[in-house]
Amino acid sequence: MRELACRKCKALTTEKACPNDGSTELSKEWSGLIVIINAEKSQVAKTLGIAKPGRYALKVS
Amino acid sequence: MAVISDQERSSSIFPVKTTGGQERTVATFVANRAVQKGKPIYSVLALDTWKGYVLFEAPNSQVVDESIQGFKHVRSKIPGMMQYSDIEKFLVTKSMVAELNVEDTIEIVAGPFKGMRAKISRVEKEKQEITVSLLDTAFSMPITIDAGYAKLVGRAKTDVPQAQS
Ligand SMILES: [Zn+2]
Repeated sequence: MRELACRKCKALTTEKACPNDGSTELSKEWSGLIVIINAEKSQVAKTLGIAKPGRYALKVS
Repeated sequence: MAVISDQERSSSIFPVKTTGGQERTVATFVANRAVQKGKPIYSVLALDTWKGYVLFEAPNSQVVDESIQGFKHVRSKIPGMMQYSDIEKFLVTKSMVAELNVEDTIEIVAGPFKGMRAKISRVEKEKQEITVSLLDTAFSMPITIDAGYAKLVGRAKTDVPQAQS
């Protein structure tokens, strides 16, 4: 199933709203898959300002 | 909230070669397997700038070997590892400068002022640079930084028409 990216927090979802913030501003135009497993230890999460594990897009347009 | 210093975040990046076009499949599969088996992989990246590879952020090479083992779209692990700083530049997207405007609030995501918030006072699109003044600090001297180091966190209140580029 095709994933959409939240324009607010870049989380990916197959639902109609973002699982993190409930936003319905979702985009199918995204690139770069980022899977955060351990947000506390991940430097990638820190750089991107991601506090919660999950699937994210690097870029949403 | 616990503040974790860079010293405590001691992860390295391990690139793994995959079948072309299967980067996201591999990232998803291996991330799920790592979670299920409790392997300490911190993040998994399938970036457009790294076609044919999936990047694993982990404390050591062994956990990556164990997690990718036997998965059909995995070709091979690249020997050795990369420091986190080697891939940081792929995470800060250069095209950001087009979206930045004076008075916008940004967070600085790399370099010596990393983690600080700032307000933009000047945008130089050609040089991909912005001049900002730091917020949350008494030190208010303007500094000029690479636009790729900025993450937009708040738009200026006024609706300025977007310039066509
Ligand atoms: Zn969201």
